[in-house]
Amino acid sequence: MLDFKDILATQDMIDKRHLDIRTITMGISLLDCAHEDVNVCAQRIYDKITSRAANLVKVGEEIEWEFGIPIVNKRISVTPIALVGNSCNTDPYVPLALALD
Amino acid sequence: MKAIVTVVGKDRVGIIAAVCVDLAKYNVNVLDIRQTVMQGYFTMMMVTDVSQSTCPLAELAQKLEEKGKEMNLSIRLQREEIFQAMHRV
Repeated sequence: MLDFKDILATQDMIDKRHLDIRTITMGISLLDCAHEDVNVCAQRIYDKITSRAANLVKVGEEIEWEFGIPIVNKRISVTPIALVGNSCNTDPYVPLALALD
Repeated sequence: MKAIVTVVGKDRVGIIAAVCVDLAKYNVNVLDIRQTVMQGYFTMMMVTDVSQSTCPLAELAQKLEEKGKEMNLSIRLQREEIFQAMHRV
C-alpha cells in the first residue's frame, strides 16, 4: 500500500533533487546491413536505423509523461562499424560514417 | 493499471470537482483519495484505475498538468510503478 509520505518524497526527488533517467538506449544490430558495395551498405545502414528508431524520441517522451520523470538522453547504439564494413570491397569507409551521421 | 494523481497548491473552491470531472470524462475510476489542507495549502493524492481510460496516459497527464496551470495548482498523473520502484524493495 502506498504512503502519502512516499509519494511526496518521490515528487521531491524529481523536483528538488533533479532525479531523472539519464539515458534510454536502443541497440540496433547492423550486421545484416553488410554488403560488398559500400554505398549499398551505407544505404542499408541508414534505412535500418531510421526505420527502427523512428519513434524513439516520441515513445521516450510518452514514457516521460506517463511516469512523470525526465529522460535526458535518447540514444542509439550500433554494432561496431568495423565488423559491418568488413565485407565492403573498398578503401574509404566514409560513406558508412556519413550514413551514421 | 493504476496511476496516482497528486494535487498541490493554494486551497480554493472546486479543486476536487475540477480534477474528478476530467477523470470521469475519460473513464478513469477513483479508487482511493487522501486529502489534507494545511495552513491554506491543499494536498491531495488519488489512486486511480486507468485500465479503461479512453485517453492515452501521456496525453491525460498533459491535460491534467495544463488544467493545474490554469488553476494555479500542480496536478500530476503518474503510473504507480514509479512510486513502488522507489519505495519497495
